Amino acid sequence: MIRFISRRSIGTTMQAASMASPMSSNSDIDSSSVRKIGKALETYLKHSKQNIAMMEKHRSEFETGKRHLAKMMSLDIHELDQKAIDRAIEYLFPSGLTDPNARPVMRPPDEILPRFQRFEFDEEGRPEGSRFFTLNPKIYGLLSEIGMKTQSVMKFYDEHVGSRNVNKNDLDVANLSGSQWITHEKMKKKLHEKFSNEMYAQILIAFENLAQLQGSSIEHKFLMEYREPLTASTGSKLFGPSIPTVQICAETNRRYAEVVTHCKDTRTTVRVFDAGKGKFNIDGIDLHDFRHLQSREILLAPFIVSSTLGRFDVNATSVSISAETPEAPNRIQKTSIGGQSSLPRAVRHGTSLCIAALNPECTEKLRLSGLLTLDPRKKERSKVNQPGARAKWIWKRR
Amino acid sequence: MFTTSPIFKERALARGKSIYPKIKTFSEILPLAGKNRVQAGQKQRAASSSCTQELQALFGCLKKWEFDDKPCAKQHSSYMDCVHKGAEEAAEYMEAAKKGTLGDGGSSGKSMTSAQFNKIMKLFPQPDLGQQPYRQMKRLPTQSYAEDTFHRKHWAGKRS
Amino acid sequence: MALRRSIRVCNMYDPRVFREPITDLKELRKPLDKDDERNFLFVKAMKSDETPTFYKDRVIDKMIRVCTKDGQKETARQNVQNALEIIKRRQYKAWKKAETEEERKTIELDAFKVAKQGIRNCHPLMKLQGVTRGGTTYQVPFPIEEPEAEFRAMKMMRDICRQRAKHGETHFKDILATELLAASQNEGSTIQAKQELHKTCEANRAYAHYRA
Repeated sequence: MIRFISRRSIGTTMQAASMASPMSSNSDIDSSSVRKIGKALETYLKHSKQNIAMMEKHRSEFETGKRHLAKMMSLDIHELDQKAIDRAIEYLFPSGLTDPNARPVMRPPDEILPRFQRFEFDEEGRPEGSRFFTLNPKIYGLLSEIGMKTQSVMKFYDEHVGSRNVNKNDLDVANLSGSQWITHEKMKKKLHEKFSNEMYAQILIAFENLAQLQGSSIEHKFLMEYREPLTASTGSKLFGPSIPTVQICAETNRRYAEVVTHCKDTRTTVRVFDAGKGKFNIDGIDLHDFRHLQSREILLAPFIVSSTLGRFDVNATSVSISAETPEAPNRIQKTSIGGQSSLPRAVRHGTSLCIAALNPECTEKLRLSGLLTLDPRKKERSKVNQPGARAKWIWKRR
Repeated sequence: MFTTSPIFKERALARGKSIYPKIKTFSEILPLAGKNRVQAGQKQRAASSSCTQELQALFGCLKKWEFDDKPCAKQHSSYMDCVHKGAEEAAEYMEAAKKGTLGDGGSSGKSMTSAQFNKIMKLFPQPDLGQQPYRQMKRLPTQSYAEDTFHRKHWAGKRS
Repeated sequence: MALRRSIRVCNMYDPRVFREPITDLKELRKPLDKDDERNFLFVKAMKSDETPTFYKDRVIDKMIRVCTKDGQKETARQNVQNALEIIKRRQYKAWKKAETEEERKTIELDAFKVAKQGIRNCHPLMKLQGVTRGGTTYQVPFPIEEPEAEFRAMKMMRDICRQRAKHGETHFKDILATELLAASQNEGSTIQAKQELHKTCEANRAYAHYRA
């Protein structure tokens, strides 16, 4: 059956027993020893058994639900992967709720239900590893690991500095540019343990200390395990819209690519045709109708960089972004599109994206020259009690 | 002496002063030792040479050629080299002063920076340096016992 | 006295993930260094005036930026480029007039080179900067680096040309052309202004020790 599982409501049912309560991983300790250790263990054992039973039940329910879903969507059970399930749920239960956590989901119970924290025990029922008593065994384990690595890096550097039979790059500081430490939430997920913000700060301090040491590059791999690339959220090296796919025009049978970009207040839809003659049509205006030499240069920049002058045709239409936003009272609607600078820049960005799609060899060139980057700069708002964004009134004694 | 002294004596007594010379005794309130910290009073600055010689040479050359800089390229380049070197040294010094790195390298001057001094003093602090307040008294010596405006009677400290 | 030395930088480009673009075509053709951060970080968008055209010139572009008034860059650009054209015409005329081969060789026909040489000749060696000591402001000679010297040379030239073009007798471009040509021969009023500055610096050399 499909179950509506709100990820927030479940937490209370399967809360782990208090941290100090020990249990056996393979609950086959005879009853006498259980009685000896006390009530805490009993509770823990009970919770653990309950958890196992519940997970079993949910798993079987999930499997049944999957089969039913496959029948409803007339799909084969084998080709019903998680993506297909998501699509089916979205189709069957359309939800207008904005918070994604509030929408119905169907996922394997292991993913969605809170983890039950299990501890390792020895034969006598005592917790394995002395870090158990710190209440945060994983965190303190990580901290001590960092400490040990720090010691070893310092030792390595002291022993090898100035000697010839060592790789010189090993004595450098680890190159961590372009990445950052993983966030508190991700660290929690990675270590399967809850810990406070202060503890997270302690770990970061320890990591920073290790990373700035001379010779820390020998621990580069370890450091990168706890770092993520800064641009990871976008998934590409391009800032702004990605390179479009090539399409084929039905009438003329020419390849073309189309992309929508913006610059300042101007939004343009650029369509570049392959096998052209270098013609421009920007809202019905040709290249030579731009009065300023600079705007003509801007329009030609992607062709100069990719050395494809006269090979493509450019069609572009533009609208003002602020004209589309709902009208505010006491405000005159701006309808004019960009002029001699922002319109060509918007067209330039679209053109270079399309060229990168049609002519993939010059993608890297265009990227490095900064033509595939969306220009995020905008007019800064002027501040109250100031004539401009940064400018101040001239100070006068009286 | 005989005639004058009683007059003076009376006068002096009327003013509430002793006629005998004041005896000053030394009592050690603070231990006679340097403190464990010095504060950087002024901004730490490297003992920079202002490249005066090079500048004089440059100006001499300029004057000779009626302030045309073309024949003075050599002097100018030597002056700029001096300026660059001075700036580099100053930057190095600032770096060392900020970090308080000990040993040579960077701080090749004669005196230590305050950061360096503080670092050494932290490693080897003064022994038996008391803590503030070094001597707290209930009553100042000039105050009468009756007068206790600030309730010093109840303070922890020496009776004085 | 000093209110705030540091400037708060507010940038739309996050300095941790954005790096400068490569706008030189020759450098673009070379493969990128393996350790270069641009391999895995974003690259800033190309600036409007950095299009790699064949006639792009760093010094002339800087001159255009210095001459810009009220954000009217196109006007400034036309002024400077017209001045270059006038230089070219004059040089060509002189070249045609010259009779012997040696005379012709001495005449530089490339207007860009003439302009650059003129600006190069105007580089001042020092600048005067006010330093307040004990309530009195002294004009102290300071050494300047190459880019700043270039800027000050351009600014001096621009100010002189603007002053002359103010009354509308002649145009800015004509005066600028004359000035650049004269400066390339190490004469003219910009060179004079530079020498004047040197003289003042020499007079104030007693204050040089205030530099710190």
